[in-house]
Amino acid sequence: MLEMNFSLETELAGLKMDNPLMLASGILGLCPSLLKRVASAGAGAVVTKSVGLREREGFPNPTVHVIDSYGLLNAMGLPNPGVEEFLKEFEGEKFQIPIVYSVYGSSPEEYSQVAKKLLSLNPSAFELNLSCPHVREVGSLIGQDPRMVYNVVNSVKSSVNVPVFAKLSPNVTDVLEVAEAAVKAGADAIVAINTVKAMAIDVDIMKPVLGNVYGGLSGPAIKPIAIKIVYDLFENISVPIIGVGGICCWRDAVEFFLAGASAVQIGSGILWRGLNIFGEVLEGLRKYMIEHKFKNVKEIVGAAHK
Amino acid sequence: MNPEIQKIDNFRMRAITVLDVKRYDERFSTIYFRDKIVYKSVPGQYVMIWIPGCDEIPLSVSHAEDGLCGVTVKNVGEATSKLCNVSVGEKLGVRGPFGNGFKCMGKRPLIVAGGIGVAGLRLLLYKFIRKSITPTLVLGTRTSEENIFHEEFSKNSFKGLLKYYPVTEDGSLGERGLASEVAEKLLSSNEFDHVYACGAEKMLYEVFNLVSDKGLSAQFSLERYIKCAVGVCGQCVIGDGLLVCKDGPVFTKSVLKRVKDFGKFSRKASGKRFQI
Repeated sequence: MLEMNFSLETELAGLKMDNPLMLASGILGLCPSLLKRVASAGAGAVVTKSVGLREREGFPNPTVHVIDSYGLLNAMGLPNPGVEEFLKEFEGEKFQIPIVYSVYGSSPEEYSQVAKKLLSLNPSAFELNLSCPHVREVGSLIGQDPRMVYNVVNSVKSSVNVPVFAKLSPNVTDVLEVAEAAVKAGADAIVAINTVKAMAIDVDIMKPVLGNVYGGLSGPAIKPIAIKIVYDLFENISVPIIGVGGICCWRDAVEFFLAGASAVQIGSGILWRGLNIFGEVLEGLRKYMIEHKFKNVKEIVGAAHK
Repeated sequence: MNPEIQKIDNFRMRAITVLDVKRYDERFSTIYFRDKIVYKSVPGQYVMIWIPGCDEIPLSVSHAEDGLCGVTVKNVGEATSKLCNVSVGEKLGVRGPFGNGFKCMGKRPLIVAGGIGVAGLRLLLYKFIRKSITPTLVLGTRTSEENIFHEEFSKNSFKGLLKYYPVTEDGSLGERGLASEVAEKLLSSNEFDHVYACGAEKMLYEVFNLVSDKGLSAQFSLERYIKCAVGVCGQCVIGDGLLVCKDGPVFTKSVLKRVKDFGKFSRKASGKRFQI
């Protein structure tokens, strides 16, 4: 009986999950009710929308532009109600699965300030959104500067006693250098990747579509980019990797595990597949594991490297 | 290309040319355009209209006849002002139609419209008439000028096909008062089997309270700040994780009974809650 000792359960940086599928940050994670809906759709863990110190409206619409069946271009502009309001909404809420709070800031101090305030919610982990504008160096992102990434991760790690994940931006010359800085500063896991800088121009209207002119691309178009980065990280870093970028079906998820991801996050895929995507991917993953006689997810992680 | 994902046509941004504009007064316009996908809208569905260089806003499809689509807009801010004053020949973007729309049910429907909310009910009204069902319409506005469809609904050709009750807060047209007050009087006759409402949430909530203990079904079209319109950003969440953009904008009475924030809270662009 193959299925007797077969399990989708996994453990990652201290987080015990029923399965290795997580909700990606920025998708639906504005409030407890939505996160619970995602949890009941089958996610093993959920990540909130990024929260900062102060309330932010974000960019004007259009904030989202769907590109056929392969891309979701967005420039939300980090809208969030601010950490104090966020606390009010999440206070006293109970979640059946691990909940990861995504944090952003414009300086290392701001990141740790926000993280410290969120401690009262008993977070399972923090995910640091490093694709945020630099407070001093206008135009560049925190995640593009290894030194800054080190300082941010270090600042949060020394302020809280909760696992800290660093979510990397692919918009750099050398992702590995940034990942190594995060690991050196104590990151418990690396999340790869955030959206890829991109834009679209409407040829009839002859103007950029997004209100912010440019934004970040997610969806199937970026999956091969993410796979390459996860593959490279697996060879070079010692902490677990959470793969994210364009997962729309179980094959995509398995590809990430084979490349070296210990867990995966699903975001834009919800646009095309709806919340059923979690159940669909789990079912496919289960069949794949039985067919290939894998007893647990850890056996697939990085298998393409052997 | 991942074969499991299908291209979903209505998600795509399409450029449209403004073919005609009907200006009721400086605050209200209906903008006409052609788009095959919008043309197939279900009553109560909405589109996202992109005003290049300005904003993108959700608007109910108010017109889908003779090959033309239309949206009716009230000037309440920068984007709606630009749209109200758009010229024929100008180009806009459109995504959608989105959302579920109304289910056309009942043999004796009562339709309650508040202000510009009537735009989201116009197609439903015509659908009933085409099915040879006589709807009763209560249309409440502040003043007679704001009842932009009065001429259309009081036409002779509508006699016998529509029972129409205009209501104004200042008493300048029809009964003086609120749409919900007139709806209450009409409902006491028990002649209706289904209620539809679209308008300000305070009005919707009043109507909801009128019907919540009665044995008749009701559908309400809600309005929220819409960003993605495709069920991924979470901005328009209500109740226990329902999305106005995708699960709505139309919700039944029984669903709304579970939505604790209905009639009470909405969210700003930042996601912060505010009292309605």
